[in-house]
Formats: sequence, structure tokens, C-alpha cells
Amino acid sequence: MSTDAEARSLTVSVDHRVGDVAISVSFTAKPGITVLFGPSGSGKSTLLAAVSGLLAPDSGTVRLADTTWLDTKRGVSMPVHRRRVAFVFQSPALFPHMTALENVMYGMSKNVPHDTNVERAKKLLATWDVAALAARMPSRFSGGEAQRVALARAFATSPDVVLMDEPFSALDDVRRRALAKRVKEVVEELRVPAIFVTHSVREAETVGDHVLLLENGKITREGTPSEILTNLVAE
Amino acid sequence: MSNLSASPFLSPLALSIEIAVMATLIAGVVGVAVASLLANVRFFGRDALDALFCGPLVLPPTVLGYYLLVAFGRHSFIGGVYEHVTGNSIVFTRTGAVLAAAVGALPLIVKFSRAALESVDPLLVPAARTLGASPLRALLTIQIPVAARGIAAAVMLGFARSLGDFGATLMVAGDMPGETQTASLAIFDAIQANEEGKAVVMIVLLTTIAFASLYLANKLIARGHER
Repeated sequence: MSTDAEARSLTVSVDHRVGDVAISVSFTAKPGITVLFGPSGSGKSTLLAAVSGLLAPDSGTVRLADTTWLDTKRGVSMPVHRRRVAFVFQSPALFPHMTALENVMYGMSKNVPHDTNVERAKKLLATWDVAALAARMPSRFSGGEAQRVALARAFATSPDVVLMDEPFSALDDVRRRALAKRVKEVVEELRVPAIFVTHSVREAETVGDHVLLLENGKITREGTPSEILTNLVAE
Repeated sequence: MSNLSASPFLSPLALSIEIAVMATLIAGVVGVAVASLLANVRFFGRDALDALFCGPLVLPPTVLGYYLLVAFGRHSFIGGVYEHVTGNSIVFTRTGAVLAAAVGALPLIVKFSRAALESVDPLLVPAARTLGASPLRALLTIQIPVAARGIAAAVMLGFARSLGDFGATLMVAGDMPGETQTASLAIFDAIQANEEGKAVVMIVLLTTIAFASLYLANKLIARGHER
């Protein structure tokens, strides 16, 4: 791994209790896609929320390169909106009172001329094959269309970190695989750390550069997709 | 307006509408701000604040009027400052009538706006935050616009409530024709003076406006649920 990759890494060490599950994890996500794989209720979504800042964990640290996002001992907690994360949720969470284009433009810099942002938003919609939806309201989108617009919106912020919480769980296998491949390409282009939560072995194999197996709030194994997932299927 | 002022029926009604519009504007801004706080922030004393703003819904109007007299009367801190700055008193003036009507409208606006804000898809605000929006921007550009129909319905109900205020207005603003005598007070005076015909005109007009507000509020709530 290059020095550049080390410099862009996301280091996470978090302890948090949710109900009966005590999450206690430490890992480093390098540029590329780190898959957080595990059964439902193992703490995957909670961990993602803690990294993004949407949830304040009981204790821990989150660092992106030299920047501290969270350090509970020092009382440091950077607000969510300053962390520059692209968060793709399980449901698209599109703003229902805005067109697809307005949704994509929501997170774009206000210091850039409006027309430039419009052009960029249109290109992003085209990248995700939903250019035709630009002027339409989300209530008329199919599940797949809505999730593509949500992806375009998330990546419009030029993020430093990408977080995806089972983003394709509502889609059929064909669309799922196609979108997973596209996500992998876009993250490779951006060269940022991305954490992809899933409990689908096939999806993890398609997108993952590195896999963390999360069970009962603990990382029990980590390695390449073939190392972790092949054994898992064999078991 | 001068023709309206000359009419014994329409002068109190015009005053009622003027007071209700001003009271609704004030209660709308304060009520939506309080509802936003209650819906989004967990803090010590949240339930107490909710009870404080919704109290006028259950308090007898005379008790509410007494509290307002104590809080805003000439010898109170707020009343003293207001009189020092403007040269006028809050109580027994049109300002007092607006205040009484606004306080009466607040509980409805707070309760219904809070419900509307809390019914917004819980992922929308987090999505906005991860897209770089501050809590205030997420509130103003996402949560309030998405809840707009419910909030508009709350404001309509608040308007209907402030239009018909009687007890608190009487306690705080008195019953001065042309100055603080609203339609509700004029109806009471007309009935007392055995002038039922005069009262009936205002009763019919007030009932029409109140039901129209209620109908509109129900329509807005129903369309909000259809989203």
C-alpha cells in the first residue's frame, strides 16, 4: 500500500453498547472498499452511524489521516456536517419536495457558481443512468431509480469517506450486482476509504477489497474477500 | 376599513380578524420554533417546556388571563420595559388582546406542528446532515418544508382558536368598543343587552370563518398524510 493510501486511511476504535450488544471494535479502512460483513444485529449499522457522527458512541476515536473526527477522552467530536462523508442509507431517503437534480445539488458547495453545480449534478445523474429523471419528483421513482439518485447525491459532495449501509438490499440480484460494480469503480476513482455494510456474501465478494467479519459487536476475522468469505461459505 | 369600523356588526369582527392575524403570526413563529426544539432536541426540562406551552389548552381562561396580567401588567418586568420603550401599556390595549389570542393559539400550533415535524421520515434529516447541512439548515430546508402541510394546518387551527378567544382577552385587554372589543366580546355584550339580532350576525360570520379554517386545516392534514 502506498504512502498516499496510508495518509488517507480512516482509523476507527469505538466502544458502544446497544441493548444486549456491546460493540468494541478497532480497525483501519484504507482507500478502497472495506466490507463490514455480519449477521443482523451484530452492530454494523450502529458502527457506521458512529463513524459518520450521527451517533455519539460511549467512547472511542475516529481519525481520518491526521484529522481527529472523534476523541471522547479529549472531548473532541466534529459535527456530522463537517466530516465530509457520503452516506448511502438502506432506503434512498430522497428529499420528497425536491426534484432529482435538486436532491443531487443539495450537498454541493455554495461557493461554486450555480450553473457549474447544475452541470455537475446532471453528469452525476448520467453516471448513475438516471439523467432522464433530473426534473422529476422522487415519489414517481422505482426503488432502483431512487437508489441511483441517492448514490449520485451522496457522491456529489466530493466526500473524504464513503459509508454505505446495505444500500442495495431492496433491489433484485441483477440490479444489485450492476450497482455494486459501479460503486466499486467510483470509489476506486475517488481513492477514498469506503465502508460497505452487507450480509450478502455475493455482494461482499463483488465490492470488497478487504472484509471485516463482525459478530456480536466484535471483529472476529479480517482479510481479503477470498480469505474470509470462502471459509465462511465452506463452514 | 372606515366603513367596517362604522358598522356595529362588522367593527368587532374586523378587529377580531386583525387581532387573530397578528396573534397567529406571532404564535406561528414562536410555536413552530418551540415545536422544532421539542421534536428534535433531547434536553433536561423538555417535558416541562411542553407542558408550559400547552398549558393554555387546559387552564381556565380566567386563570390564564390572570397569569398574563401578572407577567405582562404595568408592574411586571416585561410590562415595565415595554411601557418604558413604547410609552404604552401591554394590558388593556390592542397589544394585550393580540397577546391573549396568541397565547391561546400557541398550544394548538405547538402540538400539531410537533406531530407534523416528528412524522417526517427519520432518515431525511440525517441524510441532509451527512450532505453538509447544519442542524438549522436541515430544519429549514428539509424538515419544515416536508412537514409544511401539517404545520399550515396547525397554524389554521391556531387562527381559528385566536379568532374566538374570550376569557383571556377580557381579562388582559378589557372590552373597549373600537379598541379591544372583539366579536366574541361584542356577542356577549349584545346578548346581555337583549340585542340578539346584532349578536346573530356576528355568530353566523364567526361560525363560517371558524368552520372554513377547520375545513382547510383538515384538508391540509389529509393531503399531508397522502404524501
